[in-house]
Amino acid sequence: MDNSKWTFLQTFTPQFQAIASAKIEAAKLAPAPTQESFQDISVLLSKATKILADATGGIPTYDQRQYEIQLKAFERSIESLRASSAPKPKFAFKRKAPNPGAVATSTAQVAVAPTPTPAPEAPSSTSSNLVLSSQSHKYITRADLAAHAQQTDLSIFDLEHCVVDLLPPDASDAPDAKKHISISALHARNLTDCVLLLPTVEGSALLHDMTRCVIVVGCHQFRMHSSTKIDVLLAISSNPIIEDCKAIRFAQYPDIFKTPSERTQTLPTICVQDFSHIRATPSPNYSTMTDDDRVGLADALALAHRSRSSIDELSDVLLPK
Amino acid sequence: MGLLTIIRKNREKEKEMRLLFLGLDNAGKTTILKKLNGEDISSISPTLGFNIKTFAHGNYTLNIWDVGGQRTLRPYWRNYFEQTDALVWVVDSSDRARMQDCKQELHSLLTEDRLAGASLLVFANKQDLHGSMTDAEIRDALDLPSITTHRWRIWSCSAVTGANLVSGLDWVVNDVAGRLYYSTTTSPQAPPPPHAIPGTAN
Ligand SMILES: Nc1nc2c(ncn2[C@@H]2O[C@H](COP(=O)(O)OP(=O)(O)OP(=O)(O)O)[C@@H](O)[C@H]2O)c(=O)[nH]1
Ligand SMILES: [Mg+2]
Repeated sequence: MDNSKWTFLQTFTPQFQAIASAKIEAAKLAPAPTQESFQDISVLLSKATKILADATGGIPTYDQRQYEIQLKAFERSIESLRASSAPKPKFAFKRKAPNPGAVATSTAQVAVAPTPTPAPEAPSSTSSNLVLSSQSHKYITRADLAAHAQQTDLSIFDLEHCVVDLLPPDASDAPDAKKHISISALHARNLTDCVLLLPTVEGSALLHDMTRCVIVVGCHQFRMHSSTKIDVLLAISSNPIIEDCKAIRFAQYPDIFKTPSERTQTLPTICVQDFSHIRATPSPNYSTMTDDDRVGLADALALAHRSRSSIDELSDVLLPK
Repeated sequence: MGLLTIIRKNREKEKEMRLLFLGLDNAGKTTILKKLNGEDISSISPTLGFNIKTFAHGNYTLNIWDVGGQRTLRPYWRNYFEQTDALVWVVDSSDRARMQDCKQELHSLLTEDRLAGASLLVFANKQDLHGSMTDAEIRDALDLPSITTHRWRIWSCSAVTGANLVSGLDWVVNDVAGRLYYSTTTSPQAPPPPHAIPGTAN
């Protein structure tokens, strides 16, 4: 082992902690923490992280992990401090004016955010980009989908008062390849008062601008943005994330909609991360559904699935206005 | 021993590079790095903050920073610019709807002073998915040919199959090495043209 690294790391953490917490305290006390004080702390953090990265392989893995955890904790406290002292407009950020001497291809100042990103493009000619859009008061099933490749992307946008039910009619006969639809990614945007009943998506489920919906889906990653009053029944093994969301409730994907092989898999407890609440206190923006609510909802959905209930009959499963 | 002494010592001892992986959320940055490192990619969560990977590539030690791309995190990208030798911009080639967003974020990074000297590798990821945009389509959608301030290349790849990941890294490491570790007169290979010809990886 490289001795200098080892010796250094033994003194590294206490030293770093002392300096970093002093700086963070100072920043907190200042009437308005300045950009410079954040810069300072960030530079310190970068240096420390770099040294730790350099030491990889030179120190025991356990120690390495402990140091990484501590550094991440510092990063989080800096971020939350920055967030709490940042001027409000939520995601907009301004760039420093570029130095006069700087090489620059464009001087355009990009204001990222309140403007929603453009809606998905019109249906493309490739049948592996399946699009479902601009409908209201419909019960939509696989039979209503345009012809598509067996493996396809699915974009759903601008729906209101719809049920989108892409589950096989009977979960227990699912392994039939012809009936099988393999969704590589789900993009949903601007859905209001809708219920989505979906099988497992191989990639991510990306959702934007949803209001009062129920989403039943299995996926590799779940990322929801700018949405309110959503119940999510989820089969997932990574951490689902929300950003700029309110009144979201999570529960496990109902067994009744699972294929026989999915039923045998055990999934970890759902561990949500709220990117709009990066601090130690629990996020006020989501909760875990109670068992009663979860069972009641799953039963209502199973009934709807069997009898193709319209959304009006289902209105009591959506969260109230 | 102080902080700076250690840094200096390490710089002398080994040839190092610092690579910064950025891109929109869901592009596949973390998956690429885990795949390159031979780790399991089956249950990766969206990155809250950043990850660091250090690994050897040829004669070089790469310090790779992978920073989360979710919208709330993008304002923090600038905290990681310092001493970046190369920027690796990862694109989800199947996400047609967000190409515009992707282009804007990339072009605004390229105006940053602290990234001024960095080489740029654009990974057109998720090529295994049917209906993904090709590298040529992405090159145009992101308007890469207009870039004159950075040497760049676009590389099709798939983090899931592993296709072209190593060769992409080779390009960027060689490009940085040509700048950092050989002077132009003693360079064993001729240095690449001022800005690399837009090319395809395969
Ligand atoms: N089919 C396919 N899926 C991929 C590929 N690369 C990544 N993915 C999937 O894309 C999703 C996002 O991958 P991540 O690696 O978490 O993306 P990221 O860029 O790190 O995202 P952030 O951390 O939020 O910035 C995951 O579901 C991956 O499995 C690929 O080459 N092909
Ligand atoms: Mg990531």
